[in-house]
Amino acid sequence: MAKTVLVVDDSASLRQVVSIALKGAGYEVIEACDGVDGLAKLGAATKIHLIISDVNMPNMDGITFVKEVKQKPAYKFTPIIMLTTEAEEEKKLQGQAAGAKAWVIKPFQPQQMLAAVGKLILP
Amino acid sequence: MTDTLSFSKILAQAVQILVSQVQSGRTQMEGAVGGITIRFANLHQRLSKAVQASRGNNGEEEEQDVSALFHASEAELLGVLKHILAATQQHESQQEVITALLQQVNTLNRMAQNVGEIASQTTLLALNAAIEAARAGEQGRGFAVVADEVRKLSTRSKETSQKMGENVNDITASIRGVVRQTAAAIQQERQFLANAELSIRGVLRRLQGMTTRLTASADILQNEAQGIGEEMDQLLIALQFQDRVSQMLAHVEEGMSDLPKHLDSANSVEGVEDWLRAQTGKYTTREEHFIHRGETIAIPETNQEITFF
Repeated sequence: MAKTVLVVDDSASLRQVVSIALKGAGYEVIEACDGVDGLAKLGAATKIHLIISDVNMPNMDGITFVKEVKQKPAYKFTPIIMLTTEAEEEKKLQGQAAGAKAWVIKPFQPQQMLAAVGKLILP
Repeated sequence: MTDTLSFSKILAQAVQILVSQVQSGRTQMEGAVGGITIRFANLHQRLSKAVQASRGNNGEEEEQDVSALFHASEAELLGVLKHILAATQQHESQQEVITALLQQVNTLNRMAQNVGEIASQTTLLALNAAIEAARAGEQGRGFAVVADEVRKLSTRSKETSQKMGENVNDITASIRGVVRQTAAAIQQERQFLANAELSIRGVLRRLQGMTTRLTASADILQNEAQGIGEEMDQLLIALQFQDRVSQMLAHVEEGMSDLPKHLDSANSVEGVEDWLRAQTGKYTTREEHFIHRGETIAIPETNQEITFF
């Protein structure tokens, strides 16, 4: 059975790009447009095996979203990859402290992203 | 003072117009790139299916199957030819036996001729004996009877040898007919065999040519599929720049909107310095910081390492 990845980004075209790369490798993809929407999608029945999240988003930013996810017992151990234009070391450290597993700077290489997803995704 | 106020108002209006222009451009670009991305998603899906179909489920195995099938067919068809050749060789052996039989029959013919000659000489002897018996007169009467019986026997022997000769000739003619027919049949078989072999080898050659061409086509498709995959990855990278550009334009919009406020303050030099500091806090990309400092514009890297925590 295909594993499911939640993609949280306010840019529809970027969600599409990530979705194309993931679906091409056989993953199921659920999209969310910001942190609030992301948390709502986590509440749905489908099991999420990995989360890819942007950092700068309206309503709820990526760092807050990661902190919220880590509060949920069902998703405490779900790996999260931050996908962002942010290259500042300080932001990276914030992401790490919140509980993210990897930091990817846009634009990403599809093969590199797939390798990271394959490495981190829950069994 | 009035001039300054008027200048501030004009500047605020001008900046607002510029902000609206940038906003409009950003929205249009987002819409257009969004449309391109959706179309590309469909194209990607269809191309992936086409590439998958061209590869087959297990291309290499299929290729081996075709090759194995070709060799098996070749062996089977040439095997049929070998069977036909064996049958022809058997017919040739039979013909040799029949030819040998013909020689035996020729011997029989010579023997019949010998019997005929012996009968003729015996008839001559019987005739001489009859003459001698007649000369002997009354004493030779009994011998004359014997001589006459011998003559009758030799006459019958001659007739029998003649019939034997005729029969042998008939048999010889029949055998010669069989030998001729067999030779013609063997010749036809040989001809058929040569033609069949020629046809089979021709068919196999064409089949091999076709297999080679098919394999070459499959290789081209495989290479194309790989090329398409690489192009698609590059497109996916290129499409992400919309998000990056959109963010940078949003920062420009915010910055421009904020600028008139800072210029409006009592100390406009200080106001601009505040504004500049506030800008750096909004930047998310490396090139925004580079540009802000007036350094050479760094082209965003597309092969950045992923940081794992």
